[in-house]
Amino acid sequence: MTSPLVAALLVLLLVAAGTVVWLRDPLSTVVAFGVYSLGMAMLWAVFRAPDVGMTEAAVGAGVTTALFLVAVVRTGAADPGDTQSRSRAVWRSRAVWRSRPDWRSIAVVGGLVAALLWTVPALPAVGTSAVPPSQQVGPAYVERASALGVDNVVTAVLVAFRGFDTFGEVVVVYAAGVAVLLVFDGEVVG
Amino acid sequence: MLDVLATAGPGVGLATAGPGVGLATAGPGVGLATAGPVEALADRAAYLVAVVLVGLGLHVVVADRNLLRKVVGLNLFQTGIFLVFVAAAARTGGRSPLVVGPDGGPYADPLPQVLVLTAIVVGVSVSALAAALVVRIDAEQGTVLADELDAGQREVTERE
Amino acid sequence: MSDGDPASPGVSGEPRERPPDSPVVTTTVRLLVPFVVTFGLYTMFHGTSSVGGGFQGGVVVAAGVIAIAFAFGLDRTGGWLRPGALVVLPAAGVLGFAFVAGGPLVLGAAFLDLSAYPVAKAVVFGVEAVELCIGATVATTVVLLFRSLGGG
Repeated sequence: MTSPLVAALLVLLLVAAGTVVWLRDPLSTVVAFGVYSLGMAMLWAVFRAPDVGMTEAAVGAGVTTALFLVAVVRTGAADPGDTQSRSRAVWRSRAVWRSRPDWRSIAVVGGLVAALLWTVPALPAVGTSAVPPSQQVGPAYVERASALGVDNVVTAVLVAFRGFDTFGEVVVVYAAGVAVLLVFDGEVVG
Repeated sequence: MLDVLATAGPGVGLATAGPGVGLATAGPGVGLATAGPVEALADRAAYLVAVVLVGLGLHVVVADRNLLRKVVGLNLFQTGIFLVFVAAAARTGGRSPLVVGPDGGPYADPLPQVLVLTAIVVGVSVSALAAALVVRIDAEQGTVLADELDAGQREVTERE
Repeated sequence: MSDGDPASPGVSGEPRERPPDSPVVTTTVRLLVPFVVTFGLYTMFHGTSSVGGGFQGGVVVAAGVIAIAFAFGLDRTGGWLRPGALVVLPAAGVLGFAFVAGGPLVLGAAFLDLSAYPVAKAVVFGVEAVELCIGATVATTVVLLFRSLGGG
């Protein structure tokens, strides 16, 4: 399944993620993260997941990038003469050169990545149809959804078959809104 | 031994393969018995990239001083894992899980996509809350660097 | 960062002067956002028959509102949104979902058993109703998060 398009998108993801790690300036990080999210959304669209790709494009490249941009501005937009917030001065000094990499972290993360890479060959090939989920579970849900009259199987599974999960998720979103209001002492409410 | 690996289920190959054997003759993913190792890895390129992304995200979360960059690293980590699920749901020559008729052909697996959809929305809630906390920390403490916050906390406890 | 949010007070508490709105950004946003919001609502309403649903449409609508905020400034965008709506709509969405899902309990069936409603094609309409509730909650909560983060 690794067509040239998929391969090109995977390379884009690696380059964008590498940029996020390499550049220490928070603003550059957020911009690189926006590019990475868009690449991820395109890859998911190529993998025949339009709902997921659309949500990731709107969320990752849109909402989350915007939220991070606002956070970067709000934590670094103090006057240069303000000695309370030294974040801006520190960020400007770090934008040009990198500090020494943290070797302990690289060693630990490298060990974890090696362990995970070890297990990858045991996974079935991407796109294969000869595994039980593709032969039994997936088509069963597609048939049940079309029998209900809901053509979008993802929506049918989200609400009609696994609706309790979705209910919990909506409550989580609501709770996040409440929590952010608490963090800012409810200043937004008019 | 190769034919045993080829017919066994996915979890067995890892247990019976020796340390040097793992990548060369690889686990018993279906279709692997006839493919060479390089082709096997090329078929699983999405999983390899996802693992690397997980590692990069984790490194940023652990090693970076800036709290905002930690949150961005967390998002890298999350989307890497989502890639594993979406790649597992893909079908070669299949269509997206929208029913177009009785003979729509092979559809991509809808269940991992549902999982990832839920996870994306929960992830944006977490990221927004984390960013809000970082902004508030900066307003209260004047810094978003983790080691400076630690030093400030140590001063407070030493004074007490 | 010319179209960022330099009007936010930051830590020092004194608002800086905003640079004038970039005409390219404001014109583009003014042209595009009606289509974006309409597309988001379309996606929300057509969750059962095409690609879409509550989450997808909700975040697209929220992204449209965020685009307005980036182009015209957070304060003016906050002025255009009714202040109580951002707090009431998420709760209304959750409660709507709870009522649609808990209705079958009253009728004697299981929780979320949408086929128990005495309506033709009950499952399809139930799914539509639930998707609208989800979309309302997600869109307004994301806009609320953005507003709190930017102008709290």
